[in-house]
Amino acid sequence: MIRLNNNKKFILNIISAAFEIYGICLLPCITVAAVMHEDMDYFPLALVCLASLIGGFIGRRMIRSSIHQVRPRICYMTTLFTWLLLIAITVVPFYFGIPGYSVIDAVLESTASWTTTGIGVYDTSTLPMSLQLLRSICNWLGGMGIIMVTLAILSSRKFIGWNLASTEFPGPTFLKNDSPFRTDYRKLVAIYGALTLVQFVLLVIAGMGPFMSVLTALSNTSTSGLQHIDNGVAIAFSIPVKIIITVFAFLGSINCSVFLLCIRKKYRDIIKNSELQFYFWRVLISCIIITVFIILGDPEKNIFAVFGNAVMQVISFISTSGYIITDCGNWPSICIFFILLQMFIGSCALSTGGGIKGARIIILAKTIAFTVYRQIHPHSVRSLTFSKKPMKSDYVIRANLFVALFMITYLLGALLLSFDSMEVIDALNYSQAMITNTGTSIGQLDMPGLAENFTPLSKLTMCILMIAGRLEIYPLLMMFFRNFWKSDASV
Amino acid sequence: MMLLGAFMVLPLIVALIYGENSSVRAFCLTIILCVLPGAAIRFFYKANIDDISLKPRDSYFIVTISWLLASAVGCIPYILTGSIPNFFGAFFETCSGFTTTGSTVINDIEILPRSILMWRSLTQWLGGMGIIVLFVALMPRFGIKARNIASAETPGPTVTKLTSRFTGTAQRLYVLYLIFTGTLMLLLLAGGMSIYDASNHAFTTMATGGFSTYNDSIAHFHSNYISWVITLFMFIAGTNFELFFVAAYGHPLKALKNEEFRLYASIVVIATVAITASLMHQGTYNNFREAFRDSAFQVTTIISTTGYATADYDIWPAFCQMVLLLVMITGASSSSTAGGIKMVRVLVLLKMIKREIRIKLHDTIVNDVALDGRKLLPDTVIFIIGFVSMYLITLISGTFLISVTGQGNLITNFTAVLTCISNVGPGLDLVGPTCNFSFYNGFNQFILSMVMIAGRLELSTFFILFSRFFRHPDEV
Repeated sequence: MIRLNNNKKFILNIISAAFEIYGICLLPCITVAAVMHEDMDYFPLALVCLASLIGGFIGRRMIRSSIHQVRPRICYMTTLFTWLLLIAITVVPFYFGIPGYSVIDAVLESTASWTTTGIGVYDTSTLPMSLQLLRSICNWLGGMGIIMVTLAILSSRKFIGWNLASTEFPGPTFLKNDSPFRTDYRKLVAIYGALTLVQFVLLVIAGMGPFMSVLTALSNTSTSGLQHIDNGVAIAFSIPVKIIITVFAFLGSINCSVFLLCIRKKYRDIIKNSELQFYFWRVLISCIIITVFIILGDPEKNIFAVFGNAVMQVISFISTSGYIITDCGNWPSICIFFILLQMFIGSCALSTGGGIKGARIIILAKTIAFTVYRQIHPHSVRSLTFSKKPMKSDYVIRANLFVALFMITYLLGALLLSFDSMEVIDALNYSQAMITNTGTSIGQLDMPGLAENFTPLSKLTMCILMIAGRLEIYPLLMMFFRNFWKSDASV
Repeated sequence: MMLLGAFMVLPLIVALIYGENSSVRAFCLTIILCVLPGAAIRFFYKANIDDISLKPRDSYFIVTISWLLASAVGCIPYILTGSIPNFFGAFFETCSGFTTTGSTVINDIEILPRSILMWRSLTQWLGGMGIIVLFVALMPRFGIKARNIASAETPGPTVTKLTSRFTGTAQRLYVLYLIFTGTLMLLLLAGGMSIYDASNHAFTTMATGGFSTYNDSIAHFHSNYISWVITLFMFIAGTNFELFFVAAYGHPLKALKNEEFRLYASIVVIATVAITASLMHQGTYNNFREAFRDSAFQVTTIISTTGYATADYDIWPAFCQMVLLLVMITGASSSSTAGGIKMVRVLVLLKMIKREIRIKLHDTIVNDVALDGRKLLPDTVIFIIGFVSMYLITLISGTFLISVTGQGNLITNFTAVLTCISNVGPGLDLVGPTCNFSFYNGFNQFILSMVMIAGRLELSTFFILFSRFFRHPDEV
């Protein structure tokens, strides 16, 4: 047997555990395939399931590491490899299960599922049932973070857990008391599980079919959009269903520490959280602006109906879910621009949503004010504050740098997409939809969330953008640096 | 008293500008309007000059107000001659001139009187080196105090001292600028342009402005020679001027080793090659030499934020447009007449990202960002990053503001603001190289003018005026 050092053992151990979980989660898909007699999907699914179960089981038992502290480099490696391998193995059922799929189509489908991006190659609602379920399950696991789930189930990793989980959920975390710690990810998984369950029950009560409700609950909690319903166009639903969807997309997109604080009954901390306040105001102001401009355009309309629709649609895009719930294609361009802007900012840190994240934008705005202030008073020693606590300049630089990196990635992504002789505006829109993990761009309502006409190059670009967006760019970028492959001692 | 000092400076600058232009008849009235109060104020407050030490706050104020005022006064000729009848249009045009942007609201340039066109080009030339640098250079008695003003004015984060006295530096830069303009004028004359055309184009090229005297810009001349000469000089105008001194003092190799210059040159080369390849591949051009010429020209004109046109890139493949859009954002080197984020900032940003990755991977190492072998202070880094953030926010809010009126589509509005903030000139779609900004209404033109000035003054100089701390200097 090859001799492995402790670090490699650790990585393999976590990956195996993730595969084991994945294998277990595939079981319902196989059942569905068997029940519905979807023979084409049955074998690949069973094969993948068996392979991951056996591989995971053996890996977890055989390779044990006696490691107590993990270097950040190893954490990043673990996260990156787990994600890439899981995406790779999910390609198999899509490739063999759907006639006419090329490899790159299957890769796109798999990446979209894992990164909670609401895009598919063909209309997802025409796919076999088992694969639709597979998509939703991957959405759910990906939305919560497979590493997070794994850590919740593994018992021995309490001490190094947060280090590792933060590579998957990097968002700007500031306050010690509201960042999840040690056993908290178990609670988090339980919370998201409960949210999904409640949503399922409510949807069934509201009159949706049980299978449909499962899919909706799974993919809506993870803010992936509702691909299984007519490609995310949910205009036809009844009002209660729409409301349920909106509420849970909103819950999925707020900082998960809010739930933890709820459990600890620290309600005051929740209200004081400046990111949450910012998020709330963003939703409200967007809705008001949209309502005003729609009413200006057509004074006949009922202001409450317009506002209600605006709320639902804004939450869909601000939480980077990206389902269409009203006729937003006919909105004035200023409203669309505003929604695009909110999509960039995305949801809160430590949520299932994507985007730049509200906390970073707050820091960005404060940095600008600070720069101006420092130019007037060059010798001042005041520092920046967040939630009334001073911030290290490292944090400030980091948050701003991420925004810049996000924009660079977005523009370069658009550059690659424009190879396809797409229009510039389309390239920009798609790049944005991918990197924020929304999937649908509001400028693209005639063909929401479909990638069938793209060339392989574009599809590949989109996959890279989706993974980059989900893992917040750095882990993916690191791969291309020599330091990633070198140990600490040799740098 | 400081404010008085500030007010004293303003009309004086304007007076100087007009004094140079006195041969043009149509401007007599304007000149009188400006020279008299300028001279009067200068005369009365002469005694106070030596006692004034400028605080940063005051220098920002002087700079911003003088640009605004210069633009406001500069538009009088347009209105008086009836070339642009409405105020906002004329204001836009003058702003576009002084900020060396080169966007225009005039549909048909060729029917305008030549003196007006000459004035148009001249505004760019004056704007190019910065009214203040010009002013400081001609007013040596300001001595060391002028350095404050200039740091607010000369674009870019690195102003290395060339000589012990700032006025000396400014004078040298100014001489260099004159030499380049003269050389270019001669070269263009050799290429068969008339003196009038040559001087106009020399003015706007060196200022990276981009006003032309013809509707179809440089394409009017159908000359390879002229295209290449202008390409070369646009590239020069986008280079850090200090490098020419470094080279002139006997270190040509040192100048070439400058990291910013290297990045600038390599981006120009890469973008040109990429666009040429794309044009040939998509079959927009059949002739390789033409494709290469036009792409080199367009890349240089956009990256140096000049904004001439030899080809309508609106009909080029989207890939080319994206490349141009990217270089529009980066802009050229610091301490040049170009706009945009500036290469040196891009460079620092990329280095920061690399550092961030190293630190994320190996949390125990110490890693500082260095530029040309010198370590950057954390303060500088925050300023650079703050600038990039401010650039993004201005871009977005500008787009939002001009979308409010419902004019233009998203890509038009976005590239219009982008082109104004980077001081380029043309954008995409409705504001593309063959079109102009005349379809925007007064409000939008005004917003765009403000964006141009903000972009020219490196954003923070402009936004400081709106800061609470600016109005209450003693509050901290």
